[in-house]
Amino acid sequence: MYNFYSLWRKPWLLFGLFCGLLFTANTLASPPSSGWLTSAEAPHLSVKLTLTGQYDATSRVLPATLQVQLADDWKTYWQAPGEGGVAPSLQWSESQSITNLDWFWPAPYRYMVQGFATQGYQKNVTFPLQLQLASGATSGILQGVLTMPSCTTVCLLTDFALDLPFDLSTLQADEEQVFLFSQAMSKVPKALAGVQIQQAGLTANPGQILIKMTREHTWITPEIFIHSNDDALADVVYQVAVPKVSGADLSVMVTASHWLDLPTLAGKTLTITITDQDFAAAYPVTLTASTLATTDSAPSLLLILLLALAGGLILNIMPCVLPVIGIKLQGLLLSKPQQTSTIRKQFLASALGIVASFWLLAIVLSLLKWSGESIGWGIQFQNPYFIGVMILVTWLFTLNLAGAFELRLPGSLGTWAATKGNNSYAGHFLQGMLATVLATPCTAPFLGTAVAFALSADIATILLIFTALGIGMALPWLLLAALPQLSGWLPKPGRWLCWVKPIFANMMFATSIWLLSLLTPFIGKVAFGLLLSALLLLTLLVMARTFGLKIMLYLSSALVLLGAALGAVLLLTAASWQQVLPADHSWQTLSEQHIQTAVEAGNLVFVDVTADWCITCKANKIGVMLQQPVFDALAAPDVLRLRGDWTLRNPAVSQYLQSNNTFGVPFNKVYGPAAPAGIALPTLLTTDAVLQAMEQARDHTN
Amino acid sequence: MTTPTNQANPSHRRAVKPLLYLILMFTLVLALDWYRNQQVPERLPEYQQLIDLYGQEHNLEALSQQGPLLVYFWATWCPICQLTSPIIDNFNADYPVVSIALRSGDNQKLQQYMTAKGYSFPVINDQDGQLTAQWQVGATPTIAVVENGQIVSVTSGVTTSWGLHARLWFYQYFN
Repeated sequence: MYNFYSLWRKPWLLFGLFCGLLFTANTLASPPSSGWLTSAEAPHLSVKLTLTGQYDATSRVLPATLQVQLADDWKTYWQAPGEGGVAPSLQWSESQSITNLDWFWPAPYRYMVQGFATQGYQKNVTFPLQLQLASGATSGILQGVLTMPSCTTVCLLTDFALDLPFDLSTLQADEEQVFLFSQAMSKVPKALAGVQIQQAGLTANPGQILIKMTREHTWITPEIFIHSNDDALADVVYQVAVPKVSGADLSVMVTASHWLDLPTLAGKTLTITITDQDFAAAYPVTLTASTLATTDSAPSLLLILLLALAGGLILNIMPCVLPVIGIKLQGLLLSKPQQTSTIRKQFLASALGIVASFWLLAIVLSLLKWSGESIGWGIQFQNPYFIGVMILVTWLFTLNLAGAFELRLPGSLGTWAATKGNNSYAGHFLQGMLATVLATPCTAPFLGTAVAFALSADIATILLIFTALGIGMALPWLLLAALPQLSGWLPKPGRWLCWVKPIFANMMFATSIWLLSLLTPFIGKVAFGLLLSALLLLTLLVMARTFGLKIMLYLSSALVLLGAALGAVLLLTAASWQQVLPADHSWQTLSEQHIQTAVEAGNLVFVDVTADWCITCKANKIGVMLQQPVFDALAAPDVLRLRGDWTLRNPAVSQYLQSNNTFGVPFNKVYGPAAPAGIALPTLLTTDAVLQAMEQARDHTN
Repeated sequence: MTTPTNQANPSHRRAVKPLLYLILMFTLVLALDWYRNQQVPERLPEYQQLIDLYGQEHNLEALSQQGPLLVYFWATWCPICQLTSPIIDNFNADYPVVSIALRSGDNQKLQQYMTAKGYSFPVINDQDGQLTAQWQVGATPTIAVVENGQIVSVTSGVTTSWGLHARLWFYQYFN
């Protein structure tokens, strides 16, 4: 008989036992994984297939992740690769005990490769997989070949052999893998509420599909992707035109083609995937037969040009341009009586500045479009450096208007301008350019239609429409240039100008501050506050240097008064300008202890487990939790709001999810005296579900 | 005072600059080619029986004895090949061209694809990628120039008709 003492006498045996235990513990801890696989012929690509270690006995599903890493600008493809390309695939038929494999596709991005629109992923992507285990099996092998395409200007197909044995008895969920799987799964587009596909039908043109949809909020930078799971539509390529957006409405023209013969499309089901910043959703649609007009009721170019002219003209009275009009008016009023020819030339210079900057915009937008960037009206305000330069320019104009210095062109430019007869023409040209640049964040009636038409057209049309916009905006200037005597009708300069000048200066300064506020998303609120204070202080210092300390003190007290008055007005009219969505409630950190105490005290608990990267969570928040009547219901005094943030790996939150038999976000649950175990809410929240659960959980005995 | 010769001189000098650029570009292209060639074998792979879709055999060793031969590796699923294939198709008239289609489906599908696109260069179907692997070519599109049984140039990615003409002309007369 072997006893424990004999073990002690044989240390090597003990050592072996220890190692064996360690080994088993290790295999228990980490679920089966292929590890990072690479190939000598494709050093830019590595893949890793890992089971999460979870197993659902009822559905017999084993979740897994396929991680793909790509170096530099290598890309791999989505399920529908676009104009050229091939989707990644996994040939798993040699596997044991696996009856099915579901591959899920996170929302793709669109890349232009030498003019071909391809759809896929760059840098890295994680595909969630679900393996279906054969009934009765307790172990198996995932065996097969993973074929990964990767392309830059060259394309490769790389095969990776997979051999992943697993055994249910040793399988244990790995928190990190579970997290990775849920994160990847949350990026797979689902049929979220909030978007309605109003129309998806064929036009009379072969292969042309018109899709119209509407959303609760306005579209920002929507991208549309089309694919079909119908075998009859294999190899069909869908070319998606730039979507036409007007507020919450979106229409897009899609052209289907096939390298051989285009199969019949009518009656077939396509899936439309829509992404817009944080939003990503997919909706199946069945194509209706050709009843639609061949063009998206596209107006004629002439009409668009007229609209562009009108839109440009109306831009002049939009708030964005008012400060610049101030400069112009001031210049006019202050100028000594001049020869009509000089006035005429000055106005022409400004008009030319406007039109030239519209051309510049058209060229830059065309280049961006050609390189595959998403484009739109006013996109330059998404660039922090551009905003920085604009802050500087508007601030200098503020000081100029306030009389801190006279605008003089630097040496060489001044000399150049002087040779042109009058060195103020360049200044007028620049004023025209500034007016245009400042006008771009504003949209005017008709402008949206014209710009949308232009951005989806070819370069020549973009130039034409932008020229019309420029001429439209320059019309008042051109009118004054044509009839210089009109300027004679303006009031004569006098003492009243001293009062008008500060108003113009303040309008321009307000523009600087507004521009500065646009930087907040890039630099944060604290940096914005510091920069704002610095800008105010600097302005006051310059004023003090120019006009003396006394004036500066008057000015600063006036500013404080003005600020207070403005604050009061804003407060009083808050209802009319505040955002439609209320600010979120305050939430406490999720803890099981909190839930228990609150429920024992007879209160309700609303649990929200969420993550920044989870699009469904955002949809739930915007669509239900911040909307009435749920918003008010959550604000009730007897409701404790607990939030678990899963943006980063958080063991406490993971444990809470696991104890609820779920491994993904969003997860919402309502606890109360009548439901101490809690009522889990559906993944896609609905107002009714939340209210009903809260009502059900509330104590109705007293 | 200016004489006609004085006036002509600067224009001559002006022509020198672009010419130098042209030579520089040409050298650069060849240097880049030479660098890329380091990774591929100089000799043709062991004898491969290359039979095109029409059943005709192509012997690269023999074909390359009369002058430069283009061997074009491409695929139906490669987006950039949609740009290079028409260029190669034009070369087919002036130089011998043999193309190898990498993992692009069965013969029937490949034949349909060739007909639909209107390509007339001979194509060998490398359905499982075996032939291409022996060339140590992984990427499509890749264009190899073969002369006297030697691989003299290999280019992957976007190619212009111009650059390809320059290369072939160089190998025809200077190699």
